Amino acid sequence: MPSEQRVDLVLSALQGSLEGFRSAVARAVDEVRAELERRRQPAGVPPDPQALGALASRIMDPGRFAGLFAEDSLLDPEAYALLEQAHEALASLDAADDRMFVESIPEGASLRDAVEAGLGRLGVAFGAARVAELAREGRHRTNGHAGHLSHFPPPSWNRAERGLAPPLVVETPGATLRAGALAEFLDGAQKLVLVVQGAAPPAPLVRLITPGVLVVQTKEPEELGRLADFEGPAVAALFPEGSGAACFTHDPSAGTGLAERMAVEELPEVSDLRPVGAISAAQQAEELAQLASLSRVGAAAPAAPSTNGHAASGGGDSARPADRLAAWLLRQANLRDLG
Amino acid sequence: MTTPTETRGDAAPAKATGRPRADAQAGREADGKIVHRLDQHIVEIVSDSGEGAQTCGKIFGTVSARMGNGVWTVEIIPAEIEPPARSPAGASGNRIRLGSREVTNWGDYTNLVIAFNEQVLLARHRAGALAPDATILLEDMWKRHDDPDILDQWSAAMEELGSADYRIIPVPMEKECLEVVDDARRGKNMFALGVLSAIYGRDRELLEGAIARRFAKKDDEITRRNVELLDRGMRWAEGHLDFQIEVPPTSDASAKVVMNGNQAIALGAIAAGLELASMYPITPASSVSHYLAEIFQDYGGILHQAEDEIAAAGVAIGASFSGKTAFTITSGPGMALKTEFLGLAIMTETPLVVVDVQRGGPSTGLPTRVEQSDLLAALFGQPGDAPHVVLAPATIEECFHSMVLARRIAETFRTVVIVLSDANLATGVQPFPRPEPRAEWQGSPPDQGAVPDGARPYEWDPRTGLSTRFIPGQEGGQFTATGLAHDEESHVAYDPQVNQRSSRARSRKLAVLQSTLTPPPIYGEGSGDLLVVGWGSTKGAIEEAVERARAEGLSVSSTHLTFLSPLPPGLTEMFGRFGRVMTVEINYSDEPDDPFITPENRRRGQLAWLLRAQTLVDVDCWTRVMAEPLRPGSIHEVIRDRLAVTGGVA
Repeated sequence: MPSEQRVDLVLSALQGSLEGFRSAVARAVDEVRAELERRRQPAGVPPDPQALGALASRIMDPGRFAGLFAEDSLLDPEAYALLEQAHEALASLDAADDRMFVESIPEGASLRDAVEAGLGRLGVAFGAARVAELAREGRHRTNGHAGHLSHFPPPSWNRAERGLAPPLVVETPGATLRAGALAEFLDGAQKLVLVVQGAAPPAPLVRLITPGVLVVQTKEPEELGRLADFEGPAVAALFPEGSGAACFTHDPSAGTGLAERMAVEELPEVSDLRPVGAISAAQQAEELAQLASLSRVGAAAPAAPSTNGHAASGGGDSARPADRLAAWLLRQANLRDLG
Repeated sequence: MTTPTETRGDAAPAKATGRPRADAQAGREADGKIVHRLDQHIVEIVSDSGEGAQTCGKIFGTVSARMGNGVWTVEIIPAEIEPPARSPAGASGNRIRLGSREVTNWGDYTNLVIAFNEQVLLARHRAGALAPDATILLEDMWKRHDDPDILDQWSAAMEELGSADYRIIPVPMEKECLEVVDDARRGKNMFALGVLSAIYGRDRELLEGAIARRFAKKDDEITRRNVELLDRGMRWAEGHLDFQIEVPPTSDASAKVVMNGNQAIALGAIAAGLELASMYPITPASSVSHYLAEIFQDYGGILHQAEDEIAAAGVAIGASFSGKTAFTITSGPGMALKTEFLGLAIMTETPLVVVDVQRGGPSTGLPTRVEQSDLLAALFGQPGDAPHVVLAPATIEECFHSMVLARRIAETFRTVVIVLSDANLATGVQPFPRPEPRAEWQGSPPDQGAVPDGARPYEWDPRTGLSTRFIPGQEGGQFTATGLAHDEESHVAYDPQVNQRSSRARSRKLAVLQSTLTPPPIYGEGSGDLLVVGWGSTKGAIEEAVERARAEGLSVSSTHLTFLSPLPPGLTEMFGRFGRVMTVEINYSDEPDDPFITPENRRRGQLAWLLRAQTLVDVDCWTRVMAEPLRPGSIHEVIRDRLAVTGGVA
């Protein structure tokens, strides 16, 4: 299946996440547009010093009265221009098609840098909203804040913004697939999908398995639909059909124990491994070994509390009462939203 | 010329009390009469209720103003609607102070009285209203009355009045009037007007015109008879009195209008473009609506008499909510009833102008008398935190212009503006420069275009607390307004942060308004030993007292506050430039030397309370609730007392 077609299938599978982000952008566009409209006219009655009457001339400063409203309702040109730029940036994102969620990496480039660039580009939605708010309140710094309108990467996002994180689909050559560098982005509700092209290490995403992160390696695009349903961070790699990649899922919502969370559908043989780009056979073997180990350990390990707030529902028999209590407490504490 | 028999001889010299003397500048003689040329004079017409002394006084005052005199009139109104005849409690009339320059208050003591019986005269004597050398023109029919009780009353009254040095001149009012009308009680007022007009040289053409307007709705014969009575009174005075009084007009030849404070409020409301007045009758505010009833509809206005005070407020709020400019009119007891609805207007940020024409006392109190006791109730009368604007006109002219300002502030800040007038302004007549209404006063109708996308009915600006007003029917402007705490979208607020935020917005608006105010002007020097602070109708009396004290070399100044909420800026700094600060008000305060009264429990004048709280300055006060305006002479004496000046007032 051509890469472009696979990307379309991935975008289709991620539609829920896409719509969530698009909806937030559309709301922001409306709010900033309304703010621009309001700032063209003063709030309330247009100030007219004469309208206050003769008494006011003795006890008030009509000029100050008028100036107050001009100052209050009509932004200074610099702030207004910044507000317009913020609106333009948001409107541009709002008008773009789903391809804006796709980032393509040339051979030899850094996967991490590409992901940061892609998220920084989409994160302009958050940057523009911030700039609009700062301009509205007169706290803007033109030089300091205008940059938010061209690049606003994840480290600048706040908790609420990370909860609205845009999904990103990355077309990547297998040779650049150093997945470990992606760990820093897996926070909030971030969804990353790697559409792998050509030769690739067989189990690169193993390095990203942590208790609260949904990790999927697959060759079936429809398998990616679960990413849109998962509330926490998720990363997936879609390998070409017929590739020697491992296929597995680490799903925190499946249960509290590793055995419940881990499902390994396909585990390639170690003897077939060869270096891929700068990724050595040994590194690939290590990832495969880790996958096999996790699979075996998971099967024998006791259930543990889920840190993403989703307690095991099907694993109730194996979960101890103390673990269930711990999971419940963690849910109440809403630790997932901290940060 | 035959001079009537007088109970005392020529006017005795005035006592050295500072009271104006009617004959102080007696000089030239004309047509056998002594003409007293004075720069100011105070005259009273007093009768039983229903004998028309008030009509007489109003015409006399208006004509005097039209002739260029400075004028301030005060109505003398009995507490009861129909008090018994010939009783001191029933004294009704008008007190007119004439001047050769602008007159800003009712002055001190009456110099000339025309009284329809000795009992109403006695009331004025007992009230201490008369100068000790006052000239009194007294209906003399009672001393020959058939009723022995009346004769006894006359004798007793004459004896009591004899303690003063009045010059009492008998006037055969009954006898003269019966030559024209069958019922002299219905004619004495015009005869008295004629007598006074001859004494003061009033223009007969103006008098006749004023009488014609007064009786315009009645038969022409009524007007003719009243003019005949006027002429008869003038002829009698010319033939029987040996004096005339000349108060030259002011040098200000600019066009003036003459009206009382309630008329000024009514006309100001029309000039301000207010479209609906909703009220329930209450003294002394009712006459605002009487004037509006005559002319409001000619200007597109609606006057609504509601079934009670609460409904009157509700109608005005509803009209305003739906985009009209509305106000309601009341007095103290009505303010109490409107309290809850004022809170609703503040919470929903519905623009509303409320006119409170203050009267005396709590509860029914003193309906016809002046007092300034509603200040704290107007400021803080609403439960909960209910910030709003309170302003107080100080003159009749300011009554007019305050309506323009009140409407504009109410709409601009989406808030309630209370205009605190009082009975002194309400019934007092004063000429003032003819206002030149401007289209800007009326403003443009509220924008009823589509509401911008995303706009909310309470989009509080975080800096100013202001938000754009939505009008029902405006496309996209529909919202539900209730008295409940609400968020920006007018949804009921369950989030505690919302109430904090909305309260902050409503409060912030006052600070924003204050930032547009200027420190009040100081009458006198900018620093000194004593600063007198006043508000409302006391301005003229305070400034006249300060002027007298300054003429004696005392270091005293005054300032007058129009805005009571928010207070104008700069007061603390201003107060710091004076050795002492003292308010002068017409409300009650404990005397510091009274039993049980200590600095901690002393109840002070209401403005003094406010200023002490806001400025942390030890503001003293001098207040009186004597059911009448303050006299400049009384304030002058207090100033001297505070500055420890020994010796009587010169």
